[in-house]
Amino acid sequence: MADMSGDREYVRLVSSDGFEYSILRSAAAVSGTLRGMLSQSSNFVEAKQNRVVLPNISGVLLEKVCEYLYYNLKHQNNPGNIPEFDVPPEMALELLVASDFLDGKHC
Amino acid sequence: MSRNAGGSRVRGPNSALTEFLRERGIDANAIRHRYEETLQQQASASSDTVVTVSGSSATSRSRSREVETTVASSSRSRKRTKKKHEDSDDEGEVLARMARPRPGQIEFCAECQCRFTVTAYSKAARDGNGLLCHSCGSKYAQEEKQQKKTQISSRKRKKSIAAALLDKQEFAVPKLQDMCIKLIARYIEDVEMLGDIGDFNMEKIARILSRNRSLKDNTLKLFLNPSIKRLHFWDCSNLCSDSLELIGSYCPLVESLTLSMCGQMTDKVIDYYSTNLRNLHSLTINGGFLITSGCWLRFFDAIGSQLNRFSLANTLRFNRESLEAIVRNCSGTLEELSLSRVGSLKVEDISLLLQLPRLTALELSYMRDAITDDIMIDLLRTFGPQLVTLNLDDSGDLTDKFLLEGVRPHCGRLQNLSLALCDGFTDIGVRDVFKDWEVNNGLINANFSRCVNVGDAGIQALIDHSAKTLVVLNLNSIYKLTSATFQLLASSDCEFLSHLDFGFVHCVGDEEIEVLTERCKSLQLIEAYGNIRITELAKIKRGVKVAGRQSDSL
Repeated sequence: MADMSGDREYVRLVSSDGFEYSILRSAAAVSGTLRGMLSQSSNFVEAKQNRVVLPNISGVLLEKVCEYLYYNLKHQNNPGNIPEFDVPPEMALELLVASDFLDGKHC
Repeated sequence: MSRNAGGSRVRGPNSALTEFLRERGIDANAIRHRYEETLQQQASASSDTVVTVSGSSATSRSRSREVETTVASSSRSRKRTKKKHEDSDDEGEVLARMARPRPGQIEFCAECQCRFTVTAYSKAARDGNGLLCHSCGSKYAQEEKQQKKTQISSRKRKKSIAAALLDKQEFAVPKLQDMCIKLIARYIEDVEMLGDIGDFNMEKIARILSRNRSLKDNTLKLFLNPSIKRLHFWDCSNLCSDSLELIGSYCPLVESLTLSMCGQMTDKVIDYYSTNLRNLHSLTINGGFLITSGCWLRFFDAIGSQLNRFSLANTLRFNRESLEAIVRNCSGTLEELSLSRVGSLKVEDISLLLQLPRLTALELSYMRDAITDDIMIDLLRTFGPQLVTLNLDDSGDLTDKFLLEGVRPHCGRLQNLSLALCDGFTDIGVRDVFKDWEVNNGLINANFSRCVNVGDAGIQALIDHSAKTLVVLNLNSIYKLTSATFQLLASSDCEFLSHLDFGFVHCVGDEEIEVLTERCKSLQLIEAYGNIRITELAKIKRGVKVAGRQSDSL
């Protein structure tokens, strides 16, 4: 992975089991934690590589998280009649832990 | 003008106005169109026609003259309706001109020119110049339906925004955490162990469960954990006495316990707490009306000496003896005491509180009969100087005497003052308390809601005194206020004011609220119920929630 500085449109999130998800930077920024990690003004390796490893979140879970980030991004400006975000109950607890970690005003 | 309304007389319910208009064939589109055409005619220089819109002088002569003129712009249908004008009102050219053909008559469709029989439901042509046959009319039915739908949905949206405001919720995309918590709460009965999700989220879940009333005997165990120190359940109505006891056995280390709506709590539970909860120093029981005064006696005798904070609300079984027990056991440690809606206490009983020298927070609300000027002045003389919080809501027997001889001289440390529903205070009284009140550094929370005899002088004195420290200000129903007070508020640099309630204060309008949101930098929530002069046009600064505007739901 070449070191690329400067704002790239897409960033990568890596789950504990090695799955990589490419999402828009603006979607990742919905989560305060991710936004901080990827912020170009910090000296984090994640920011330099535009890649965040999340060893406490599994692949399936991370996929759901990405889905939520896009859902939030898409409906930010019109919170009126938005479709429900479907969460399978078995995932609810772990998703809660993950979202708590990812923090952010919106996450 | 009697009309024989042709066709079926069986109609669905309509307002009287609708029926009236329909019977007379009065159609808004047609009227508008005719008026516009008249104006056009007036503008276009047409020599011989004297088309007058001023209807009052309409005579049959001028009407017939129009019929004879061969002005190019007059259309066939208008001529035709002229002939039928004997059925129309005499109230003006315009109305006269748009007499509609009666149901039952044969007309030519304005669009497809086919012949059809006019019914009561024949739609007017788009340009108002005639009627449409059934098939042409139904073409537009789809469009009209769509219009109605969007109207309804926009009304719904307005309602949901207003509802969200009323709940003081952010109207934004729901947070993932919140969604998960909601989901968990819904499936709580199936989930075995909630695992480690942090105290803060536990409390959030407990709150949501209480809101959905799903805190039941079988879900309670999920929240009990031997290491818990603070436990707050806001709705225990579905918890039976045995479950409440469980709290005592599963969480012996708990230090602060709040149980609201715990109507099923019995003496057994309190007795169990008094033996098992060795670390308890703060207890709030709201609605435990089954607990007898004897039980309270035993409770205070057992662990009164470690109690730092005690709050009781909504019971009639707490009397002088119980209060004596508190005084006997807790005088050395009790710092916060709150008794609300404890109807069994009398004025003489309150004097027992003089023996609690360490009190810093006192609430004696909604106990009108027990609170008088003299007793409160005595209390304040004793521990006024150390009192930080004082709440005497709904103590209508209090008068200015209490303010001037009790609060002003003694309450130097007071920060939170709540005197809602106290209509015994006058404007001058309140003014005299706050004017040059040097002993006191400024109130943080001030609640004078429903003190209807207070006015500008009093509240302005309050603002002058506490502007720099106020965070929460409640002026609900102080209707005598004028906008001068609010201008003062805006110009007083209230940098910490974040919650303002001025419901039912009629003088507040769009201007005042705009200035307030501009100048008070920390404002987060404004409650404006019943302020009819605030409309949706008011420019509210971003980030400030305004709840209760009439325009939100209409």
